[in-house]
Amino acid sequence: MTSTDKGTRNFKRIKPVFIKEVLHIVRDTRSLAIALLAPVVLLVLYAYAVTFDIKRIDLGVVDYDDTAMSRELTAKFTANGYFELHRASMNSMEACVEALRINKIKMIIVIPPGMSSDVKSSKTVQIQAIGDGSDTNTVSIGLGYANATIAQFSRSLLLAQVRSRGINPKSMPVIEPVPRVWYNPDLKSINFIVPGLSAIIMMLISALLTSLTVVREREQNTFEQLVSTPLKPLELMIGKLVTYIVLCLVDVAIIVAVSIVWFKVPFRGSVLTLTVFTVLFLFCALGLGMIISSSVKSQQMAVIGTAMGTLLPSILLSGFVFPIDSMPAIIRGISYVVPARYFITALRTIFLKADADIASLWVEALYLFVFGMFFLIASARRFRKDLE
Amino acid sequence: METSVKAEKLQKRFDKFTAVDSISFEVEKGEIYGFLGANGAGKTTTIRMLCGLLEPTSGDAIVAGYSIKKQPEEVKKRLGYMSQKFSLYPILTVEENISFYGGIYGLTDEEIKKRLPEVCEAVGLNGLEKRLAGDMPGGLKQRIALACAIAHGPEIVFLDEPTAGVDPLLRRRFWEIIDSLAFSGVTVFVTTHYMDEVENCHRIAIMHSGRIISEGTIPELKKAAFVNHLLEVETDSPVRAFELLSEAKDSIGETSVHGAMLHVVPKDPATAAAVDRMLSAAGIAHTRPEQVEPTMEDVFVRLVKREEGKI
Repeated sequence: MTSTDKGTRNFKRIKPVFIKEVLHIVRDTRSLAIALLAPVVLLVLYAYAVTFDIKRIDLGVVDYDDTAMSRELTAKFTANGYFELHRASMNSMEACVEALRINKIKMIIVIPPGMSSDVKSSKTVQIQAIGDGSDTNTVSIGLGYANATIAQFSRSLLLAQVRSRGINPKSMPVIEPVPRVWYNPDLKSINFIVPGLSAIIMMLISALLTSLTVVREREQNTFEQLVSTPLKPLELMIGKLVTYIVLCLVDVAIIVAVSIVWFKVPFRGSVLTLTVFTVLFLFCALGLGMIISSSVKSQQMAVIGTAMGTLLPSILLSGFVFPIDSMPAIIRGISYVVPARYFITALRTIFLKADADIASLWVEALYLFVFGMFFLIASARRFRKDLE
Repeated sequence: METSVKAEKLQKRFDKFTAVDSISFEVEKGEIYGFLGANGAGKTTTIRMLCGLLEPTSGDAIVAGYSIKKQPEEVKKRLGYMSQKFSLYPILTVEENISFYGGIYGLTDEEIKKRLPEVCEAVGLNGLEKRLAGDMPGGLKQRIALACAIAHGPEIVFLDEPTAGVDPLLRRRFWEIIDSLAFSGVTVFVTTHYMDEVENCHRIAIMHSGRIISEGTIPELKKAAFVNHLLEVETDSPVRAFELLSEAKDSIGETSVHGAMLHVVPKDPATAAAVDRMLSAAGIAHTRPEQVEPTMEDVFVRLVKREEGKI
């Protein structure tokens, strides 16, 4: 038998597998719904839930000064939308403390008595900002906002003083930082969340779909039947992979469309780069799904196994929320084998950076390729063992 | 005569348990060859080895001209296998199931198109091609599974307990299909534990504890089990009669109860008269002892008992 002859024979057996899988997908409405609707539903639901843009922090203000100036400062806090004032607890320290205790407010600003007169007599005034440490994330951001608000207020007072003494403030030496954020100038966290979330959702859905298709064969006893035929494990795997890669590419297209149209995330990279990375990533996810499916006996177990095996690492160890650089060395080491890590980096780059191409992402591409091949070979081996 | 299957000292061990213990047999082309035995006798293990699903621990078999040890892939191309549970895709139609199996055996689309009506005709599925396999009753599922197993026109089909859980009328119909399949030159290798069904086989091997304890046509097996014909006596009180006759085992031979009937394996031509005398003497009403043909069940029980050294 010549090698080309063998090649066509292989293809001849993959085609019926592909047709069978397509028929399964089209006829099985439950799987089809999981495949096509779940990604969009999950993306929309979680993109709104997972946000780092902290706004409307509940704030209590105790104004012991009660002058035009103190009221102006209070107004500054609410002017930019970062804080929301709780009138009910205004002006009484006890009321504010109680409100903090029962989670009505997250922060308290205390304006000391005589602030206005102290400022006028050029004394330093200390304004106390109290935060609820049980919500570190909100409070550390809130304290930052409070600092900036007070500093800005102090600067405007200073400028007024300088002017009143007849000095042109422009003639004073000042060093000013000029921060500028590239690729996402408004620091919209949705631009950062949506690509990450897309990767996690695709990891779950694609691994789930493959593990279900393999477990189903086992539940129906068609597996044993297939082994008695000349069909090789690799041919069966390729037939299934091709089908599910096509299906998952459709999913990614839907997700990207929703990201762009609904969430207004800019898409600056190329569709080609996106496709290449998606395919590489799908090899990993589908391979992982196959490995999981070979160690479970029922569809329920497959669902639980895939959820545990893909979701947790993809959320926690991929840099989706928690920066990998701040993790301890061991955890950082583990994160190297989480495929979502590379796909998230790639997706964020492709979405937000115009000059994204494969060359600048070659490390991610290489990792994905290596893991993808590893998972596929490992699952092909398990596949064969399984049958015996 | 062409040989389809030739097993030589085929053995399969799982750890310390020997499931199949060095069995040898030959099956000719176009023959319906039955493996009869209780559950756990090693029938399924044998069939799985012959299909290339399990590697034998030792020994070998030539199936359709190829060694199951050295060329299992060549063997697989030439056989059809139907496992105990009818493994179909419930969500695919009858036609799609058959086409799929035809496809993975390497048939082209044209070949499948040509083969489909033939196969449906052969197993009696005409008119049901577009129905979902999952909606079919058990008896039809069994026929669809058979259709899938013969889609690629195999030289041999292996059927593992094909009629388990199928109602008697459909079982009858199934055996007619098997018959015509064998008539067309396909070798049929079938396992069963239904005694009445093996009468459909041309030759039978009786398996017990991993070994073939007897092999041959039905008359041959009957001869191997019983030198003389059986004696049958009908009586009102079979239990009393059985006790009475069992005590005289050494002089008249083994007795067994079958409802109101007693079967005696006669020691010599004088046994019939002796049985008649003994029952009359004890005052048990009975018919005259008559010679009858042993059933397959009689044969099976006797051969297994003999094997276990109980006779």
